[in-house]
Amino acid sequence: PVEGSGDANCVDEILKEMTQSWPPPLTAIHTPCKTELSKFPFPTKDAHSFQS
Amino acid sequence: VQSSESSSKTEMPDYVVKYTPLVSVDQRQSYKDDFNGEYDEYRQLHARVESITRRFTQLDALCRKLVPGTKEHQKVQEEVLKEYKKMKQHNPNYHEEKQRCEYLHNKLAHIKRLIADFDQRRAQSWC
Repeated sequence: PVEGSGDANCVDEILKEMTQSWPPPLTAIHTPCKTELSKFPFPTKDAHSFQS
Repeated sequence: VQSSESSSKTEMPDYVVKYTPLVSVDQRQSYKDDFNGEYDEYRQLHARVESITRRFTQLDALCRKLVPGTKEHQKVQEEVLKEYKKMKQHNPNYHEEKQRCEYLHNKLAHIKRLIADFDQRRAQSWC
């Protein structure tokens, strides 16, 4: 029984409308052309660094 | 309204027609430029809709916890109306913006998928 507040239906409508699921945002395209990146697989950190 | 295209086309959004599977690196760059060109607008719209949705979802959850007819419940209901009014004032074009955002979401996702497909195909052929 909807007594007292005539806005109840209105509120229900609003909530129904405003709480529709919203997907997370798309992420940007950050992949550069892979081929360019992996041209020279140069190790930045050599495990066998010659430090005496 | 001018866009009264034949109903058979309704399942084919314009970006699907425009952005076909990639065949060249140049094309990849141009697709990516298009993506980036609209990405900022998309993120802004998305963030706005997200924060509004979050606010109402909170109120909705609160409403469900309270017993209808009680003072607390009524208070939250009034809060919902107040929020809604406020939202209408600050974002009179909320619904258009939301629609635009959904459109951009689908369009950018489509472009992104084509680029990912292209990258994958290329990676495979180079192995």
